[in-house]
Amino acid sequence: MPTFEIDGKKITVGQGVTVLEAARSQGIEIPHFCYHESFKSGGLCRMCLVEIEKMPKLQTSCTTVATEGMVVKTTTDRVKQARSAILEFILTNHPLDCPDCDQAGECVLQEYSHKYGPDKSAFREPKELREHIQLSEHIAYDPERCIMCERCVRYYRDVVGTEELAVMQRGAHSEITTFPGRQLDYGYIGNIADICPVGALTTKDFRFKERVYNLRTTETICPLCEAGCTIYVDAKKYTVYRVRSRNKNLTSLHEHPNRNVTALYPKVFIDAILRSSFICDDGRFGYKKAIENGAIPGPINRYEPENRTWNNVISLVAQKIKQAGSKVGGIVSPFATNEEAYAFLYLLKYISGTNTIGVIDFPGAKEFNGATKLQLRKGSQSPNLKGIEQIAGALGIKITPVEEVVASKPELLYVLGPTLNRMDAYTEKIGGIKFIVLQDFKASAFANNVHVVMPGFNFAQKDGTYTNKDGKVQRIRKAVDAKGDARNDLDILTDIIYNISGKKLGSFDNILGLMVKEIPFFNGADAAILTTGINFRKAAGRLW
Amino acid sequence: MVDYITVAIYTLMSVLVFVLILMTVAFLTLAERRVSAFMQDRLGPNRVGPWGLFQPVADGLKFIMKEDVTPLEANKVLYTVAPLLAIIPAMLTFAVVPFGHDLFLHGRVINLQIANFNVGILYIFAIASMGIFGIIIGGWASNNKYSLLGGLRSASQFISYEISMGLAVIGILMVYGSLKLNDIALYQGSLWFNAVPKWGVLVQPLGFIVFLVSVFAETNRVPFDLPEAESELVGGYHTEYSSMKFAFFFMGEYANMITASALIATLYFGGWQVPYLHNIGFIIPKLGIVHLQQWLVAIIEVLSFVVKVGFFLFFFLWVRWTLPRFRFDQLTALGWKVLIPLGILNIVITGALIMLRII
Amino acid sequence: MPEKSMTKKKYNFKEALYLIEILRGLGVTIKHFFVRKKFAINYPEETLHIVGNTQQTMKVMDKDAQKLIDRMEVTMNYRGKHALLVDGDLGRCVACKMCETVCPFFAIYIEPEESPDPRKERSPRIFEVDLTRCAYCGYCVEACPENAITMTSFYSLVARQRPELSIQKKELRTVIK
Ligand code: SF4
Ligand code: SF4
Ligand code: SF4
Ligand code: SF4
Ligand code: FES
Repeated sequence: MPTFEIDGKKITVGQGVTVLEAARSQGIEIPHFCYHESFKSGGLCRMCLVEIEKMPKLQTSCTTVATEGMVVKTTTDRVKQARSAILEFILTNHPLDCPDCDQAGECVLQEYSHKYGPDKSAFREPKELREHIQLSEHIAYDPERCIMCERCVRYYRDVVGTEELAVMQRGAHSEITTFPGRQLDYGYIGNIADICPVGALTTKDFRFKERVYNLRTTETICPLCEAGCTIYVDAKKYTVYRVRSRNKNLTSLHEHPNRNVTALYPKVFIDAILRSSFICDDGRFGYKKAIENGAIPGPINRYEPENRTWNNVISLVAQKIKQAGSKVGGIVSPFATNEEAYAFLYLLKYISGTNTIGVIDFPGAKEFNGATKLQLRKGSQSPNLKGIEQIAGALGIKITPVEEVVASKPELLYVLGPTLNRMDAYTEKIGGIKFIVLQDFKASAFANNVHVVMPGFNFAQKDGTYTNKDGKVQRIRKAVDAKGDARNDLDILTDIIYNISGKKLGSFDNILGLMVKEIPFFNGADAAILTTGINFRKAAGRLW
Repeated sequence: MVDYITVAIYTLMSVLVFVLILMTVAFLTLAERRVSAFMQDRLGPNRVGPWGLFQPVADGLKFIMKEDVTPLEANKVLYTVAPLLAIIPAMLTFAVVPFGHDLFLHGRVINLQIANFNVGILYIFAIASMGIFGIIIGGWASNNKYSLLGGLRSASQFISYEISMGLAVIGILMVYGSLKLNDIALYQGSLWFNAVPKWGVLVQPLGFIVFLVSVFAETNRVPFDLPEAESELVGGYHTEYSSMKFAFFFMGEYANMITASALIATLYFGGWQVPYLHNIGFIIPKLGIVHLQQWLVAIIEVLSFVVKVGFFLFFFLWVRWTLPRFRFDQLTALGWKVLIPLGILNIVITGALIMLRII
Repeated sequence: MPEKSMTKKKYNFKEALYLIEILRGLGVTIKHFFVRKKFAINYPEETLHIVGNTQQTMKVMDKDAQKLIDRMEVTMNYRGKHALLVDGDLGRCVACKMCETVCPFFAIYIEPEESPDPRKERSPRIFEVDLTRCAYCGYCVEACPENAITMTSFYSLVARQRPELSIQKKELRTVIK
């Protein structure tokens, strides 16, 4: 455990920790482009130069391992001059027309050249204009803006392992391309837009849609498979503009006492880093599937068409549930949060006395390409299947396929969405059921054939928790406001329960507290986990 | 025996005067805006009709169409009565103002004056003090602090200046020895040293200034428009008023202005008098006589009255767009410390001059 | 804190009398009443010439009025209707949304697209200035990094319906010929 001095501060770090990492753990900022915590440093950009006593030249802190008795200085004039010179060099052919660039607002180069850069350049020659290149149908590449940090190249080499990208040409003409005959496959390609520190790589999906500084970022969980990757949702008012990984925000990981160089991570940490740094393309581009706002402007009541206010609909449903007694069939979507599932199962078990529940089946989440080292997908495309299983188990409710519930012809069928069109297949088979209630945010063929539809929220509109395949309870957060007269699914359920039995379950945190107390599985789902999603502390305020 | 024809003539005359006053009020509102515009190098309203002449009609229509709002907490009865109290006395005062010499028609004497009281001036004082009730009651009934303050200011202002106005008028009474306005006008035609007409302004210069200033205060005009000082009290006593009720206050103010101008003209500028003009024509001492028909004389007299009143109406506007508003303490100080002593001084001087038989 | 004291100016007798000063004031106003300069413009019969950054001259309906106000022009830095400048066929705007961001009244709406101009990455597909919201503060002009948006002295902003005052890219580009 070497002890060394950085900017006059004595610190002790783990074996093999680099100066840059040590500095970050102390909150000392050393500007850097090519270093990334998820893969080996290349020492390419020279931005991270620091002065180390007894070494004649400035050293790249991202590759220099901290050793006993080192004295590091990060703010001397020499260092400052070097940084400014490096930036001037990087900007030789960089257009620096940030207004025109999609990265502006979250660009590291923009931030650094503002902070450390020279105010003018010695270069008089006109900057080179270069053609844009389509790296794939999802990613646009602009060689003008590329600073040759090779993060994208190393990502494909070290993390994905398929090594499609390389630097071609030399000097001012160098650019990133795929090897001849190779192409970037859909799967984990979106991540390179996240890790590229400048606006050279951008996703077609988000390109030009909105300025990043107009978006509000929410930490939440990807709902598209059972892995439950942590994501950021960037949104404005009613619209989700993009989903990205929580890459670049692992500062607190460096404070871990067992911290070691990347290669020395225990397996679980490598997993954690990868899982939080990167997400798959289904999550990045496919989030629209899970949030697409359907056309359910308000409650639909085909049973008593004149009563369409929320109060009417809820008391009608409550009354029907009371009449049906134990002959209530329940179907729950694995997109429901733990709290919703709990309230729903509570309704079935303690109020109706039903002992079985159908869980809508979503297809398995397949890996995209077997050859990649990065394998994030897990289980099926049902984010909260594990949680529902655990709660049903704890309440003594048997999980059956949806067909069986429908085939048993209950007096009343209650479907808790979002169904995401997976119930459409049963539209024909629900004929004999006297009363069908659906809670869903999106119109579907099934919704057109039920008696009561209560518009709910999608995952980006509500608060709650999901349990992933590994049993980790993670928090999802409200990122956008709901349009129209939709209501939070949980509120609808608790209102119905209150209407029937007079019992108040309360809001989401009350119910979570209840589950933590009553269900052993949820023990330890403490506040810290719930606020961060994973066991890391809240992201630092910085963008980078 | 009642002389029905005389009654008819007087009725006709009062209706005519009433209508004329209303018309004048209407056009005064236009004049105020045009005059102020001209003084400030602007144009003023010039869109409705030629030179904007129909603007008052448009304004009137607007006032009628507007919603009439009564504040919830206001005293409904008083709130409604107040505007009427403001406008009716303003109209009534004009009854005793003569606008021509007596006419002799077929053996009848027709006064060109609606009511020829022998207590004309007292009547004016009595009725004019009624008008102030409209403002005070309106201010109180609106249940609004600004209105109330406006009303109170109005009351104290009125008390202060009524006295100096009365003192100034006493001078006039001493000189002309009559309370009848027609007599006062008549006497001003007599010549002083056989050359100069004995106009009030010449005989009573100090009294004139005191009276003029007091009259401005009495009519709530700039520089003494404190009851409705926009910059301090929003709209003063009529803050809460809208539609026709507001219009009544507005018209009351202008009607007061007309009466005040008529009074200034009558008391200090000979009223309908034209210097050297008598019943039979111009008599200029040492030079000769120009004979004129009676009707021609009457017309000249009425015209002279109209011109004098018109000038003072203009003077009111002129002053308004020249002077800034007084502060309230300055206002009362001026009233009590300057004008009242001056009024008393004026009486003393007048008495002395009368004793010396100079006037 | 040092005490502040003010000494009131002592009036001499002439000033203390007020009357003379009042008469002087009356003199000033009556002079203006009779001798007037013409400042007011009887819009719309008379209009001002628009000069400066727009070459556009408004139609003057009344010949006499034109003579009268021939020398009266809108000032160069008057902030009127917006315009987008063009270089050749292509607009200068890169749809960076700086103006949209800075606008305190949310008067500008922009949707970018890939630019046909090889020198630029983006250009506006939709560029809309809602003149009914605009306060003519000129912030957008200040913010623009490309000097693309500017304000002309075109002041006659009247329409029969609100949407007519929401001007689009095409119109914005033709305000200045
Ligand atoms: S990459 Fe960064 S520095 Fe370069 S133009 Fe884009 S925002 Fe500006
Ligand atoms: S494209 Fe981005 S990540 Fe790749 S080398 Fe260039 S700047 Fe670095
Ligand atoms: S002038 Fe001001 S208000 Fe108008 S569009 Fe520009 S920034 Fe917005
Ligand atoms: S007008 Fe200027 S500021 Fe506005 S989007 Fe275009 S380039 Fe940007
Ligand atoms: S971060 Fe150290 S060289 Fe790039």
